[in-house]
Amino acid sequence: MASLSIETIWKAYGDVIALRDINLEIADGEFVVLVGPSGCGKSTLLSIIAGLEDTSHGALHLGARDVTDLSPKDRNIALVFQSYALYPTMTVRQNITFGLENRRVPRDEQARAVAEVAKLLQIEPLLDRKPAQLSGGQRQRVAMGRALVRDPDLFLFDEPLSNLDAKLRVEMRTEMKKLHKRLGQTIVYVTHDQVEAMTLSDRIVVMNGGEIQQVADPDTIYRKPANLFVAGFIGSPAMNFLDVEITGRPGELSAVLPGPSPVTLPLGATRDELTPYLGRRVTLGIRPEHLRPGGDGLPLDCTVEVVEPTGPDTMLVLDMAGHALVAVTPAEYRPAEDSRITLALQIDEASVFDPETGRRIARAEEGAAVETLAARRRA
Amino acid sequence: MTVADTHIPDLTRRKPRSAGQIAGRVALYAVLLVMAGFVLMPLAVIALNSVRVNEDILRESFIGWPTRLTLENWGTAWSTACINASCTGVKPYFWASMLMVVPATVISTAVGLLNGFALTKWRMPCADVIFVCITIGVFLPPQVVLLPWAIALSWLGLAKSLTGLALVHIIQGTCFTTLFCRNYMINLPDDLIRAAQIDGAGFFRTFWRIVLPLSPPIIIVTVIWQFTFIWNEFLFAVTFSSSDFRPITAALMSLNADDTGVSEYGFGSAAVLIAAIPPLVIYFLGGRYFVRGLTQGAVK
Ligand SMILES: Nc1ncnc2c1ncn2[C@@H]1O[C@H](COP(=O)(O)OP(=O)(O)OP(=O)(O)O)[C@@H](O)[C@H]1O
Ligand SMILES: [Mg+2]
Repeated sequence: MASLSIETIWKAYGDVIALRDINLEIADGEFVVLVGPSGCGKSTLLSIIAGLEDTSHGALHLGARDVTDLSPKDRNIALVFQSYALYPTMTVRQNITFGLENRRVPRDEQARAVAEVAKLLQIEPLLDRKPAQLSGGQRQRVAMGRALVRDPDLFLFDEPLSNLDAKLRVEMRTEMKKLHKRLGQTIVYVTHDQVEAMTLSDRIVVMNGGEIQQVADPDTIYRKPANLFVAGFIGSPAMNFLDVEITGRPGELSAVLPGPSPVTLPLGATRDELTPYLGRRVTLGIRPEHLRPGGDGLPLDCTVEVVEPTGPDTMLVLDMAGHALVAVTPAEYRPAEDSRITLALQIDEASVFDPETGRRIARAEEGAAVETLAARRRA
Repeated sequence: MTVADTHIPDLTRRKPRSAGQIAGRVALYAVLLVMAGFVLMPLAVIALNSVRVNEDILRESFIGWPTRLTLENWGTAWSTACINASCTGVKPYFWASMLMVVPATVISTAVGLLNGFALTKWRMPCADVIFVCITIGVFLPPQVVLLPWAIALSWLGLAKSLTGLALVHIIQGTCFTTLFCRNYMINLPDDLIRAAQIDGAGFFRTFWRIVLPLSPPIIIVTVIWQFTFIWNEFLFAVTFSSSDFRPITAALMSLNADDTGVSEYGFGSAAVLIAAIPPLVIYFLGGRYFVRGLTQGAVK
C-alpha cells in the first residue's frame, strides 16, 4: 500500500484538453471516489495513474517513487475495468494468475495466492470455468480477484459495478466496503452512482470538464458544495436554485424573490456573510428535503403541481410564485394536486452562491473552520 | 387445468401463397438450375474424361459419357506422364508446389497476424499511414510487379528458385493477410490489451496469450485464402520457375503442350483434377469457418 500524489497533471488529446491542472493527494489506505458527468475525464485520469496513457504535463508519485514515466507493469497498480476485461479464452484460474506468471512468481506461490483470493471472494467453485460461463456478479468478482492477487500499491476501479443489476450492485457495494475495511488498500474508484460515492468513500472528488470542482468528505460535498456545479450534480432529486436579491440592512437582511408577486424571505442576523451582497443578486440553493410540511422554518406558499409517491417518501413538484421547486417530504404526507400548501423552508441548511463566479459564499463559521484546517496543515 | 386436457390446436398453419408467387418460385429455381449447370459443366466434362479411355474420347467426342470406365489415367497422370520430356507424372510438381505453398501460407499468415495486432492494438506511430501503404499491395495488378520482382530476385540470387517464389508470395500475400487481420483485430476489445499491460505482459506475450487465442476465425480465413491463392497462382509460377523447380500449375501447361502429336485428354483431365484437390481439401476443412469468419471480421 502507498499514498498517491498527483501534481499539476494535464492531458491533451490533440486540441482536446481532457484534464486541466489536476492536483490531488491521496493518503495511504484512503478510499477516494471520483464522480462527474460523462466525458469529464475520470477514465482518462485513471489511465494516467495506471500508466496506460502518458501525461502531457505534471508528475505522479506513488509513495516515495516517481512513477510519472514508468510503464504500467513497473508501477505495481491494479485496475479493474468497467468491462471487467477478463481474458475470454482463459479459465478463471488462468485469468487470476496471468499477472503472476508475467512477473515470474513461482508456481506453488501462484497456487497459494489464487486459493487465498478465491476464498476471500468466494469464487472457489468457479476456478476452472471460462468467463463466458459466469454471471455478471461472478465476473465482477473474478475481475477483483485478478487485482487483489497481486497485492498492488494502489487499486483503481473504473465503474466496476455499473454492469450489474440494482440488487447485485447494492450487495457488491457492501462487499467492497467490507473488503476495504479488512484489507485497507488505497483505492481510487470511479462511479456514476451517487449513492456508491457517498457510501463508499472517505473523500469524494467531483470533476467537470477535466477539472476538479471539489475534494471533500461526503458530508461536506453534500451539505456544503463548493460551487453551483457540485450543488447541482450531487443529490437526487437535484437541489433547487432560486435567484434572489439581497435587501434590508446589515444584521437584518432579506432575500427577495423577484417576480410579479415578489416573495420576501427574512434572513435576520443568521447570514452576515451576505452583507457585502446587499443590493445584489445571489443564488439560493435548497435541497428538496429542506422544504418540510410542518415545523420551524420560513413559511413558503406553494401550489402543488404533481405528487409522486416514491415509496419511502413523497416527491412534490411545486410552483412558488412562478418558480418551480421540488420537495421531498415524508411518505405519509399526501397533499391534493392543485392545492395550496405552506412548506417550512430550513433556511439554515440552504447554500448561497455568487451567481457570477458560481462559488459558494461560505458562512462565517465555515470560513473559520477552513482557516483552522489550513493552519493545522501549515503547522 | 392439467396438461392432459389442454387442447393443442392445429399448429401447421402456413402463410398462403398465390399462384403468381408459386410461378415466380418455379421460374427462379429454373434460372438457378441453368446457371448452376453452366458453372458445373466444365468440371463435369473433365471429371468424366478422367475416367474415360483416351481412344474413346478421340473417337467419340470430347464431351461424352464414358462407355468404358478406367482409373488408369489417374495413375498415369500422377507418376508416368511425360512433361517436357521427363516422364515422372505430376508427382514431383505436386510436391514442389506443396513445399512452396505451405511455408508461404504459414509465414504470410503469421506476419499478417503480427501486423494486424501492431497496427490496431499497440501504440504505433503512423499506424494508419503504414496500413494504407501495405494495402496498396492488394490493389497492384501482378503484371505491374512482375518485372520489379524479377530484378529483385536476381539481385538476391534467388531467381527461378523455390525460395524466391515463396518469398514473392510471402510478401505479396502479407498485404492481404494484414488487411484481413487488421480488420478483424480492430474489433477486439481494447480493454483486454490494457488489462494485459497492467498484468505486466509485453508485446509478444500479449500477442501470444491474449490475441492469438481469439483469432482462430481470421486465421482460418487467411489460411484458406492464402493457400488457395498461392496454389492456384499461375503468372508468377510460370515466370519464376525452371526445370529444377516447377509448381504444378506451371507444369500442367507443359503437359497440355505435349509434342507427341496425340492429344492425351484422359490423363490430362486427371492431372488437372489432381492439381485441384489440395485447395478443395483445405476449403472443405475450413469452409464452415470461412463464411463465419468473414462476417465476424466484418460486423464483430
Ligand atoms: N483517445 C482519445 N482521443 C481524443 N479524445 C479523447 C480520447 N480519450 C478520451 N478523450 C476525450 O477526453 C474526455 C474525457 O474522457 P473520459 O473517457 O476520461 O471520460 P469519463 O469521465 O471517463 O466519461 P464516462 O463517465 O462516460 O466514462 C472526453 O471528452 C473524451 O472525448
Ligand atoms: Mg469512463
